[in-house]
Amino acid sequence: MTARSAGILFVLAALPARAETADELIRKYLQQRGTDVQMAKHSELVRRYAIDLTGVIPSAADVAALEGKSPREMFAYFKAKGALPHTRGEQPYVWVNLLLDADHFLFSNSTQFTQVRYIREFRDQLRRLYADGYSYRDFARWALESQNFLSRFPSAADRANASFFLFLGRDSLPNEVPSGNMWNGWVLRNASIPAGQAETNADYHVYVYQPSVCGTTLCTARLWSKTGSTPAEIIELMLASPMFAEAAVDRYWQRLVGRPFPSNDFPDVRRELVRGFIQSGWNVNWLIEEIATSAAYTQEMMFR
Amino acid sequence: MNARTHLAAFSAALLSCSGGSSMATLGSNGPVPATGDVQPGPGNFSTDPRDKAAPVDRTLSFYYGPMKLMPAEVMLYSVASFTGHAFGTFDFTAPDPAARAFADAGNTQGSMYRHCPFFGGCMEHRIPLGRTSFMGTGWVIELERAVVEACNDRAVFQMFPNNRTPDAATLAVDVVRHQYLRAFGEQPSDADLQLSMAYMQSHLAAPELTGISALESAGRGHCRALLTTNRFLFY
Repeated sequence: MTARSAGILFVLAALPARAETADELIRKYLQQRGTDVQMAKHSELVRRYAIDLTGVIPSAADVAALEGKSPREMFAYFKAKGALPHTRGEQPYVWVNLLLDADHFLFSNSTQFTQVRYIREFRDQLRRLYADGYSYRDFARWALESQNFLSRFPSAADRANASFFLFLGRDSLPNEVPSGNMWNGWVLRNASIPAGQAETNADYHVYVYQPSVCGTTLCTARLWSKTGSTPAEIIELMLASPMFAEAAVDRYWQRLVGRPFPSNDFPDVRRELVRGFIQSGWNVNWLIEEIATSAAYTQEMMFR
Repeated sequence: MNARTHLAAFSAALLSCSGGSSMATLGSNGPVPATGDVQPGPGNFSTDPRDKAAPVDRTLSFYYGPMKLMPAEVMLYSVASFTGHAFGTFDFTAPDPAARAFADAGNTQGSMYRHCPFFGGCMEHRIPLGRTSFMGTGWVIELERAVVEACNDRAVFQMFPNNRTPDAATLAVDVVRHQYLRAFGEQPSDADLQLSMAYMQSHLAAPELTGISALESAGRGHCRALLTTNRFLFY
């Protein structure tokens, strides 16, 4: 080995290894478990992108136009698609994400019907998120500061509970929120049930009254003394939490892949997605594309 | 059981529940009309290489991959895209003046929905009062009705070749191919075509709907069959 080649090796060894992308990590972990990624059939993959990105099945022309294209090219094709009849002038990619976010933030016309102005404000902010690449962090700050949110949850404890559910993806724990909350002493009988099972686990909805909390009469909500009582302090606490970005990753993963993020099996994938998400300026479009072009999304599915 | 036989069994079971005795024979090996390029031989159910691939157990891999049911709204728009049926306009992301009026009016005791009108809904309920559906959990009865109506509506013809009622010159195989192309974006495989033609033949022999031609009746039934397959509902 010459001195020159030894020097090159030394330089190469000193350079930091290139970080593996989420896609590479997913493939690696699947191969470690003795399985390989089987790519979905062309028409199946096109159909998946069309439904997830435009809210409707693809036409035969779409399938033919994307023959031989890569997943990223398919993603770009449907993301850029112009208005379709069912979106009423809206770009389909934006429209379908608004539809799904309406489900998460519960601003459907059935529940929010007395506050039309608030719904429109909220929808406009979400539209910026998907159409303009508006920062998800800034969006969350706006949402938590909005008059809508403050009016709905007048006490700090209420705000903490709702914030945890909407932006950290889980219920607050007893030691994180004072017991005198909006439910006046009524607490979940089994608080260990994850919020993600709220719709399927009937026991989640069972509340019991705890006399030790409030006595025999209804108590008033107490403020959250541990971390501050003002909205601004709670908001900064939320946005500074590492769970904030992780919850966003989990939510979009569930939306696109169709099941919860397999944290134990893909230990580094979420960290990689979070890192990229923050580096992209909290751009949810980057996050959606990264998940939707990964091996987890593009592989064939169970029923086919 | 590989994926395609699973689909066949699913469709047969589903149709035998909903369509009467003539549909129950879907999975059986009856005579197949010699139309199009369907040429089944003895012991050679399919000539499509995709159907001959060795079955691979991918259970482990599937655990990490997609398994999604179409959300209710997407299902409706996709059915509309396939059949041309107009379901009317609705938008879960837009304020609904009628719903607002309902909430404001209430009764003499006031509206039961008044206490949770803001951002976040009723957090203590998780499923807010008054909400009729979540994404992916549309009312089954409504979706069932939508699918049936979309295929049986006389005013829509996108499910048939040339967007018109099939006439004497229309071949059943063309109806099947056209519907596959619209529903899945691709031609049916040989196994798919074999199954569909058996279905069409049984319906041509004993039409389910009266007042229309046997081919139109069979075509509408086949439309409904495609819309209720796993292949259409899951993606």
